[in-house]
Amino acid sequence: MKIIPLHKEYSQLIAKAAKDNRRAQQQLFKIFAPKMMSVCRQYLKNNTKAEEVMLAGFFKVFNHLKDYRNEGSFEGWIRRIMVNESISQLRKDKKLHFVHEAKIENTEVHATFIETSLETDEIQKMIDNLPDGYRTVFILYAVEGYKHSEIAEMLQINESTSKSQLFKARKMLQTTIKKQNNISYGAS
Amino acid sequence: MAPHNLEDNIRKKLDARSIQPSANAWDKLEAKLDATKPKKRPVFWYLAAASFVGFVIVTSVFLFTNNPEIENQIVENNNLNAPVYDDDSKKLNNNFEDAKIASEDNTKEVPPQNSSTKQDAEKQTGVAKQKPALSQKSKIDTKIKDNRAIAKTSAKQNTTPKSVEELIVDENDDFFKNKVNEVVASVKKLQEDNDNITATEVENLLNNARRDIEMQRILNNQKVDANALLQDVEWELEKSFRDKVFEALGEGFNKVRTAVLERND
Repeated sequence: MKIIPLHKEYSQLIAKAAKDNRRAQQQLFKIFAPKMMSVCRQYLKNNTKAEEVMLAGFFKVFNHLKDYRNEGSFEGWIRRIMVNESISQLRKDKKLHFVHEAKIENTEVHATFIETSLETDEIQKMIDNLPDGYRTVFILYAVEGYKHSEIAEMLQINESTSKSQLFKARKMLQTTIKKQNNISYGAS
Repeated sequence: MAPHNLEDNIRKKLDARSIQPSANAWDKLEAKLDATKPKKRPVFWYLAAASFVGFVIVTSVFLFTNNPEIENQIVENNNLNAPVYDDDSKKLNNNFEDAKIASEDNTKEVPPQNSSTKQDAEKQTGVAKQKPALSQKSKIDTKIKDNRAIAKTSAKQNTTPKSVEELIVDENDDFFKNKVNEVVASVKKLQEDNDNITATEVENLLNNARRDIEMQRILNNQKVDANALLQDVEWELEKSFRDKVFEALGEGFNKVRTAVLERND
């Protein structure tokens, strides 16, 4: 509900920024940079790298602002650019190696109810420990809400590969949490 | 603790998170954005150059269209300078008049001399008869030659170094010389044909010569009233147009009349 008035507020800034108005661009950057930094940090293991990618993403945002048609939320548009930029960065760093695994059973079983409330830093740590391929697919699916077909297209992989990657990522996370719980229980 | 869907928890937590970028993040981005500007500059410069070229073309075209006026101005300048030339011609005319007076004097002198020669002829032989006439001729020749020389020198003295003017003056000078030669030749012819040359005859010759020279001067002036010419043409056109309209009306009327008459028949 709040998105619409906010969106209208931005439209003037966006129009100015599209005409290469530095002040408008700076204002948009101030509003969206912290959020987008967080998005990029999901895929990349440290803040320096995340910021690098975030800046590259904003560079694209301002250069393609004329193409933005006010369809959907502006934040969603920027976010998509940031995700794509993160993926292409990982690809550049040759960190996205997906080995096609033919048969992975029970990939549909994934509801993980765990009696724990993880803090953001803990979550990030857990995600950082995932292999790049697992992490990317997991974030795209669980956090960004993309479908396997979309993820397969974005990462130029098979849909089954996307599913297997997600399955493995979940398994790893569960074991990590279980371990943590065991440790914490053991400690108490 | 309520059971949490791990993934929901992760999404909510991550969505709520925001990480402040480093202090100089914007400066880095701005530098990057500014660095891309030179790519756009060539386009701007191309545009500027193109517009400049366009401006030059437009102005040159404008100047070209104005050229006739400038040329007219030059002609006008010539006309303005014409008084000098007019002075020349006046002087030339004066010289010519001098020549005329001289020749008139000579012709005036002729009758008594002729009479004296006649008187002499009674005393002297036929061979001797021709002598005074010849000497008279030579006298006239030398006087005219002198006058021509004076005319020449005066023309030369009065000509300014301007080439156009020189050309006109030279042209006129040639014409003037030719005229003088013509007059001299006709006077000589008259003298040869008739022993008696009246002052009026010579004066007529000179007047004709002067008129020719004046005509030449007018032609050289090249001053034509454009409006008068246009009006003439327009009048002619109008006339022909009116005639055509009247003809058409007449034809139409005749056709209608014959048609009516035929129907009546």
